Amino acid sequence: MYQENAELRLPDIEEDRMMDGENVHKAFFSGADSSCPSAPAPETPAIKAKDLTYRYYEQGKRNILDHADIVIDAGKITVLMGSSGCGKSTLGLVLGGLLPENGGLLESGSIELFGCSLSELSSRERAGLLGMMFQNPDLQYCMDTLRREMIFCLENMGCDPEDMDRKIDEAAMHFHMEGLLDRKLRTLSGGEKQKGILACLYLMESRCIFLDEPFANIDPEASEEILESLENLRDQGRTIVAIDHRADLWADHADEIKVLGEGGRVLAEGINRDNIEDFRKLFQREGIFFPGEAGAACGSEDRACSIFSASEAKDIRRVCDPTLSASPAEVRDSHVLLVSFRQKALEVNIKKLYDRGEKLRKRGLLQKLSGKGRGSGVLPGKSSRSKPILCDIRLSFEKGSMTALLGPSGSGKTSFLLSLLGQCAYEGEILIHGRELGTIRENELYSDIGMVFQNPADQFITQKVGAEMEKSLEIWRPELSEEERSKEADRLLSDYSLERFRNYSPFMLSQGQQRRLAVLAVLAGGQSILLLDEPTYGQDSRSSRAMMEHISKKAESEGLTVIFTTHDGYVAKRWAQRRLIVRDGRISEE
Amino acid sequence: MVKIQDKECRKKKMAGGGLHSAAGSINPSVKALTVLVTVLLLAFQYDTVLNLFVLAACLIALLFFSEARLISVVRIMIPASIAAAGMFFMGLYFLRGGSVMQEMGAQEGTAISYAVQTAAVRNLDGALALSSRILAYAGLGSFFVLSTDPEEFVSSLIHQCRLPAKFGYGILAALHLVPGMQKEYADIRLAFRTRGAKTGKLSSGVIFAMLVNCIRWSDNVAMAMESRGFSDGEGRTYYDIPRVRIRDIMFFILCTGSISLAIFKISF
Repeated sequence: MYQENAELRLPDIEEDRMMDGENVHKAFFSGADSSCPSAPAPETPAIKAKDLTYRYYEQGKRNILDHADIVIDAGKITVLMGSSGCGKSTLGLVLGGLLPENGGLLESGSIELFGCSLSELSSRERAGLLGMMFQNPDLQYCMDTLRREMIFCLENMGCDPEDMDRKIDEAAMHFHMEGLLDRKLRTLSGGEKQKGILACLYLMESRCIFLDEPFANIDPEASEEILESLENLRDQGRTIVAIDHRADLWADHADEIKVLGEGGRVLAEGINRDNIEDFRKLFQREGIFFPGEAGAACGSEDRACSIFSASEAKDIRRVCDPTLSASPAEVRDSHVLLVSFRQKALEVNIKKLYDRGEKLRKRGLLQKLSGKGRGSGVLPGKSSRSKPILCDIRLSFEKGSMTALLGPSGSGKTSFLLSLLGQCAYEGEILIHGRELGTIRENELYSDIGMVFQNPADQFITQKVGAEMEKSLEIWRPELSEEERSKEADRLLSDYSLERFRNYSPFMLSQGQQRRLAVLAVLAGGQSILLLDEPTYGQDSRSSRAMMEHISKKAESEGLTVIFTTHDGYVAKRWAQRRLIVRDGRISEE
Repeated sequence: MVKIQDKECRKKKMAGGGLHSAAGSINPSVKALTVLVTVLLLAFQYDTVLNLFVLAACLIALLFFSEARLISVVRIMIPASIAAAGMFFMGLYFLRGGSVMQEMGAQEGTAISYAVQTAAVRNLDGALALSSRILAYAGLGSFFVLSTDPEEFVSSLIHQCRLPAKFGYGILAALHLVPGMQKEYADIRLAFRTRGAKTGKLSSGVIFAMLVNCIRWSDNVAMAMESRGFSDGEGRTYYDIPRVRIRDIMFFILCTGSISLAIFKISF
């Protein structure tokens, strides 16, 4: 019996119903039958939504979804793409029935899942039809191990307790996760957690799986693995719907790509790998990464490009080095030349670098990391047996250079950046403009080095977008009058097309918009070194290009030294003069 | 039969191989009730020996009949000892209604040490009883916390104490976010400082940002739970329903009974 089931790769939904026989499971399905046709015709679409109008605030004027219609075919992998903040995620939540139940107002519209009206389904029936997977792998688990989470899911579905072990083993085998079932979730990598969620959805026999930016927090290898699992599920008759920014990841796997515009309305559908070339213009207009181009594309009407036009570049170059002839094509080459005689902004000479947790554990989490202790080569005590995360780093960063740090998740990219802020214990020395990190006072240090974190929402110190900029200017440029400050704040915001959100709370912006605001706010201080942790993820190509353009302009004209981490090889190639690979405890040049 | 064994074995695996020692296998709700009743019984007694006996029993149970690590016991007992010491000295000086210092003031100069001594001797017993009670409570608390798996406790509360499932699983989900919150606080503080904002040890701005994040987290987790079909309605099955067995009842009677008996003997 056991063996037999293990070999059954995916129990066909019909078959499984019979297998479970007369238990609660059946009661659940028969319950669903009352509102659903028991065997929907094969051509019934998985999701059919009509005229959706949704907004977060009853009195609000901006409709996130504005008369959006969408039809998703069953048994296919469909990818929804669109620029940041166009309402993709909201659409997903509304289709999953999680909104407006958890807030907001659905003014009009009807949704059908496999021919059943969404409003008539209980949450259990809904989960059987549509399972959701979200962006952040840490915020999707209710339990602390995968096995417990799986049990939780099966309990919710009303599965017979006797069958649970068998089903869990089978699902674990299917996803090759047997060894991870009983490990604490916090010890798993982001990719493993996302795969675990997929295993849960598989277990719950959700007929349609909806993924909201499933790869935002995981590295390309893990993404590829999940994509393969998804194809596998599709071949077994499940419907997959995904929201993503990047066509290149999906191009070979998706059956159909739909492009969404403002208000969640479908601009184009039926895009697949054969006819994708015809839609290149649309992708560029909407600012979505086109496969193979990844941000290099630049529409002529795109105002973002005007931030750093060729003529401006010439001017900068002339100022810097009047002897060179001025041809736009040479701008980047000459930049490299310029860098060579500039002074070093940062020199790192570290024998052993420990991860941040070490220091936090050692010094007490909430303890003030002050004065002597901070960064001056503090060693963890002899008793601690932790291994250094990186060894033998000898690097120097020239003023005005942009450097990319690449490497798999957990390889120590972020720890390296944090060590430059004096947040990690290390043996060796870090010199900032020739001064040892440990001897610089905290205030001074942070007026010199700015960092934009992976979660940009952490950095907001006020409750309004406009105030955020003004506060930054007030801290770092106290000489400005109030009027100048407000004018300057407006100017900076409009640079990043954020001016219309001036009176919004920064927490209400989409993640991409939040990151742009964080970069702006950090740069407002005139820092000479900028550290960016994953600056482009969760953003469409237009906004990430505009941001990187702005930063690279600052690097060239003001000598800003930029170090950023990324998973995206294209981003690194496009923007960095130097690429470093972090792997196996070492940092090496590409 | 084989299947049952298999399930038992799996349950052990689920709990990380532990907590199914003698102390861990007692039904958590019964254990909580036992601890609560013992606390109430001790609250009305001034008996040092009894308190120390309870403390010793808890420590023995923890160290020899549960999976609790010595270090976690010590970690709880150190602050408890400090509190107990504080209680001891307070009792010593103030127990009989008046301060030793006042009595001392009446006999200014000549016999300070004598005054302190007489007052202290009178108060010594009471002070010892008070401070040892703190230790006994700490022992009881750590006995419960360190020998109980939170998951099992919540599951037992749902089944034995009729706690709504929504509430129970909500608590569990929140519990699993706590370690993340500590890291979050440190991260946000660093982020604030790099922006040039001043932050103290407990800065309101940082806490606000953290709370905003927590609300966002709880929203996300709630939505994730809901999208996995979780609801409070009927039709939910349970993998493992904790039951109150005879040995749980025996445990309760044994613990509360022996303490009641001891109290009875002391009183008469």
